[in-house]
Amino acid sequence: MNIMKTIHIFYGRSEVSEGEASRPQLLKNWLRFVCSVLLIILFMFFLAPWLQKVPSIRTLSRYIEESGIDAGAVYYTEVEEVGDADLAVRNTFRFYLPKK
Amino acid sequence: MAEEQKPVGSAEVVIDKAETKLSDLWKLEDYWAIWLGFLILVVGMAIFFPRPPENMQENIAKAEQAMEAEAARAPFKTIEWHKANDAKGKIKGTSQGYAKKIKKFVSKPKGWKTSIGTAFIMSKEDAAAKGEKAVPKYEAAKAKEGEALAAATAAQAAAAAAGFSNAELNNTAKEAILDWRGAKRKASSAKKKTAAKGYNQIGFLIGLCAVMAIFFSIGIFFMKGGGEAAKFIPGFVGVFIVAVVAYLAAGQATMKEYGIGYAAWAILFGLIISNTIGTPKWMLKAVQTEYYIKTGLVLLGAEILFGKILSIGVPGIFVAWVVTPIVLISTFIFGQKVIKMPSPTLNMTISADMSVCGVSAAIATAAACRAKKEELTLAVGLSLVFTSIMMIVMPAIIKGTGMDHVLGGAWMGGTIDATGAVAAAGAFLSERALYTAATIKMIQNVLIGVIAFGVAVYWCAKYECAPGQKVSPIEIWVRFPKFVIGFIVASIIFSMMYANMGESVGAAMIDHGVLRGFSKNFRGWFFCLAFVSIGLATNFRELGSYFKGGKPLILYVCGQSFNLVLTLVMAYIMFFKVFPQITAAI
Repeated sequence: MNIMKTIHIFYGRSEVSEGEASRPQLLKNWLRFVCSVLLIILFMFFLAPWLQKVPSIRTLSRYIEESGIDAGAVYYTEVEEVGDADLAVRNTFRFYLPKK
Repeated sequence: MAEEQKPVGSAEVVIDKAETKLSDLWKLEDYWAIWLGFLILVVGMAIFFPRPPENMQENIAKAEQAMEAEAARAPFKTIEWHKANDAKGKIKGTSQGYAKKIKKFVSKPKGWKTSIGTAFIMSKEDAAAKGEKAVPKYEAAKAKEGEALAAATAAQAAAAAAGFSNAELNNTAKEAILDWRGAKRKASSAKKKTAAKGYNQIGFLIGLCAVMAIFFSIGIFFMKGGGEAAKFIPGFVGVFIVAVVAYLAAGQATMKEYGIGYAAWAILFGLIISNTIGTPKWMLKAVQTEYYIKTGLVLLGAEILFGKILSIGVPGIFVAWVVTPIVLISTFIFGQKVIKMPSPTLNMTISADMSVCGVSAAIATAAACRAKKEELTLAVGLSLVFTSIMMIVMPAIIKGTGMDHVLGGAWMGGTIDATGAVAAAGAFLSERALYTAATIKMIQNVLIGVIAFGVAVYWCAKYECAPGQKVSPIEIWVRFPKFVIGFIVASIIFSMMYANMGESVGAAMIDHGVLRGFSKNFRGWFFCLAFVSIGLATNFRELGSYFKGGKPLILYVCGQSFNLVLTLVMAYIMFFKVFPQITAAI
């Protein structure tokens, strides 16, 4: 089985006749895919760490790394620290504010 | 998201036949989202409710007695008070052995730095070596904590010797205790790293994929038949693999530090696949954005506990529940009248994610007003970029200006979109900033329920009509996105259970039990699958057309600027002018 046929089967395409004609396009598409992945790798391992040389970014980044806080969490139930804060604030209100 | 919807205009109004059928209950996606969402919640309750932590009531009572005694003894939170509070915090369903096993099963890939394999597998030897490597840092942090505790104990003893009536001694003790809390937080984070354990996530991920594929295919079977359900399963495996890759990227150390979460990666990887090599046909069967989103939103409904809105008293209500709707409505009107946004649904989705809480608000609002998937993508993208910037810039401004940390915390909590970024920025400043920022954000998170319901009703009754057209209640019902009912009912049921159990037991069994220990994990996966699906079905060129003229960016920047000013003013008035005693107590 040639590679074009395998790719067509993978993509669920029934017609294989256009295989030869679409070969350059297919190659171009895969090249684009590889380039996109490389750009992500570039960002993840070179650009983003390089930006951390800026003092304010570096300080916060280090803190997040050390504390283990999930800075990408989208809702309060995903962040342990929000649970701690809720508990502490509630108990502060309950035991201190009515009287003091 | 809602491809079937016609554009709104005088001649092209959405016209639904005002009829509902009994078969809608097993034929419509919205109802299946409700059934599946509730199935997870019921299973979660069946697991957690009969197995509370041992001696839960007694231990809670013991901790509360200690806190009460300390509150009667001193006018500030003493060391003993904090220790009792910490002990109470450890009483939770998620600490139980069975909850830890569940967590393993539903977990995403682990964090990693350069070796991608460690996201899935780590041998016992490697884990031991990793733990060993973290020991010196922990020892140093522990020593600092010990010093801080000694200083706090001495300061507190001095204040106690003066009968806690000397304001200066009290303040010194309070400051020393806060320093100890900061050192303790650092030491406990460092300790966690020394306890690294070996793991192999691959088996669990395969199992989870199989469970979720069967779970969603049940609905597909009833809605579309057995043939489609059979085709759905292999497609789901493909979508799940991309979701795992998205979680993998989000777990990379540097990306975690920037707060770039799974949502951004899921959309990006989906977009890359669909716009380069193309989404395979067999995978398209499982590209079910709305199905995943709606099921996830029903689960999110359970996390909306209305009892939480009073956590920080009246100031919290004003900062989160008064400012936020004002900013949301003003930004929407500004977008319609001044910027003249071409799409009202895009306008609403951006306004909600900017003013409420980022990605989660964008998902809920977009689903409620039936925004297109490209519009949700754009709103999420804008939110993620600005969250990363604000997370870095705002603590720097607060530090630089010497702003009080309660005020700064409230400001960040009310304005930074993502909850994780708020917690990170708050904790970076101090425990007081963290407590205020995180609590305000949590109250704002709860607002999603009201916003989503309000938007859904408004869109059905007002927006999807021609000028002057009146819509009958039955038509509103037909147009109304039914899954929102599941979302609201889940919220009401869980809020009532939370209230009935009492704040302390509710926190241990619901918030830190069924929700954080069970449903939240599935909800995260469902949203991730939805974002992957959005990417897999989106064309870059179409996405570009929504950004024409930079109007979405202008809307976000103008709305966020207004939000920053109004939140700061409101927080200042509330925490410093009206309720200074609350600020002093935090």
